[in-house]
Amino acid sequence: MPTPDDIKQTIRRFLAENVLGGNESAAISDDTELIESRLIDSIVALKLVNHLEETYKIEFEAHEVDQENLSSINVITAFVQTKMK
Amino acid sequence: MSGSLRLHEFFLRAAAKHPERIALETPSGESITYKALAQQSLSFAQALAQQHIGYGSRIALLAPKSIELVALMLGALRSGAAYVPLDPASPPERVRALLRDLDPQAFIAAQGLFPSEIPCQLEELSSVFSEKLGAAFFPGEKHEEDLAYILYTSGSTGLPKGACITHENAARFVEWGIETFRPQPGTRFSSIAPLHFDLSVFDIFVSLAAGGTTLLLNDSEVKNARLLAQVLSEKKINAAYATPSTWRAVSEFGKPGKYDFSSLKQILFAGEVFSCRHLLRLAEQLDQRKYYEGDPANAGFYPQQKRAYYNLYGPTETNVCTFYDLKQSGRWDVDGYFPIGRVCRGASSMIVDEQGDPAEKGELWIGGPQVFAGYWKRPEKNAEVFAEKNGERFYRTGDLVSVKNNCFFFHGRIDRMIKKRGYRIEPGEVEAVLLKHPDVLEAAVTSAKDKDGFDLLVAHVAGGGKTLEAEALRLHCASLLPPHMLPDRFLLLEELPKTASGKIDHKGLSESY
Repeated sequence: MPTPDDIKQTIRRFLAENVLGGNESAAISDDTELIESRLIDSIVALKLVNHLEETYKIEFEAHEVDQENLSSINVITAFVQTKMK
Repeated sequence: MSGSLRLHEFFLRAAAKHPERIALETPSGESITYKALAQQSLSFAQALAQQHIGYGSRIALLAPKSIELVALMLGALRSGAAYVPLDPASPPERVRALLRDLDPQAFIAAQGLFPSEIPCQLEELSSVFSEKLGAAFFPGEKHEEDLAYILYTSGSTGLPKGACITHENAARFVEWGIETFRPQPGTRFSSIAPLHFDLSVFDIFVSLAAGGTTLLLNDSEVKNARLLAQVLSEKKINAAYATPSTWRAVSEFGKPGKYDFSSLKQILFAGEVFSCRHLLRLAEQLDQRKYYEGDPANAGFYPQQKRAYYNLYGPTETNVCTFYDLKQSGRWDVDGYFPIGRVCRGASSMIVDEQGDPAEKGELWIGGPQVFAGYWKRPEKNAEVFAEKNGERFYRTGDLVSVKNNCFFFHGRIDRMIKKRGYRIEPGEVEAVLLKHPDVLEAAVTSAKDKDGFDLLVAHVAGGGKTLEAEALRLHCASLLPPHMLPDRFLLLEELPKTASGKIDHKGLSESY
């Protein structure tokens, strides 16, 4: 069972590769608004969902691919954890 | 031909024939009949007339797509005014700039979207408009042309430009749509594109002319490709029109294999090139079978059995002016692209070289009754984009094309205009915003692809000695540009590469990413 830190690390690595141009140390905190601040757009959000599904063998329902569940690293981590229970 | 009909009259004619049919629906289950939509749009038209809105007026609209907003568009048209849909995701500063440019007689917006500092008194039309919409009225000067709508597109000098579409332009498009796709009363359309994008004219007005039903989709359903796939299937949509990027998102992320798409008979796309490989992948998933097993040399693909695919081409200024029915191509070449096809009936075309002479390959010029009236208050730009040949007025598209057996092929742009996921972006508009930042000395914007082939907008920025921060630049751009124009990557450089004559070397930039 991955720890919350493992999941956060997965998300951070994904963001570094897909949004921040490889710069993992960029100033994104666990609470930084990812969608509202337009740091990630819809395509990146969908890629992230696919990546989390493959990594953790979970499945997001169509309505769950939503700003509510993807708004920050903390929120995504909590959502992935509930999916793994 | 019913050349004398005005855009909303197609709807009124259908409403008289099919009063009890459903005209519009939403995914949450709201709907309105033709009869009720005719009544509601009439109430809006009367309320607008009381405010002296009429022929020659412009009504700016800023609200999420809804049944009420479409009724308001029809009401605006019935009052004699032109509707001007603005992007509800635009930052307030941009909305203010567009309103200054448009000088509208009315501005109607969802309550939360009213920007502060609108120089007017806000009046709420609570009796006729719902609680959700507020309206402000201005004395602005009326125009002379018979405009149906104005759509703002990216402008190379830093300000968007409003393409003015007359009733005749729009009516010719609707007639062409009916003739080509033959929708029947009850045909179910989706409205995927936002209303400030010209694809929406097909979804709303062709459907409402035919007695069809349009399912109105907003960002929350469209940008979530999984929800889009689910809704298109469960709502049994028959004809769906979207950009190739949207279709690609459905096929890559939407899990379409989970759903039944037997109702979906017509897939239309426009706005950018759809590679055959990606289209084939979509067809495979919608049909739940394999057409391509790996060797393009031996394979023959005929994914047309279950539904038709159409490649539509045309800038906002002409709406669709060429189209290609993919069944003409028989076998799909997996490494290729489809042509943009033949010129639509009624339109005329020329391919012109740099000297303005007819050529085999060159810039596409479009003439005919669907060519727009011009850009709103941009005489210099109009002088640039219109050309006359043999007494006929042509719009210079800026697109590089070639032709074979009357079938056109698209080869890119003759200028720097970029397409990002079907949206037109003039790099000059984004560069002008970057240059407003106090620490930016030079800026150039180019397009690139991410590793999966999705479009990215790249800003190359130099501070001439000042230290630049990508996040600060991103926030600066987000405060002035709509989401689709926000650069995805910021490359911070000492200075930008120059050509021998000292100008920014844009070609060098594209290659350096």
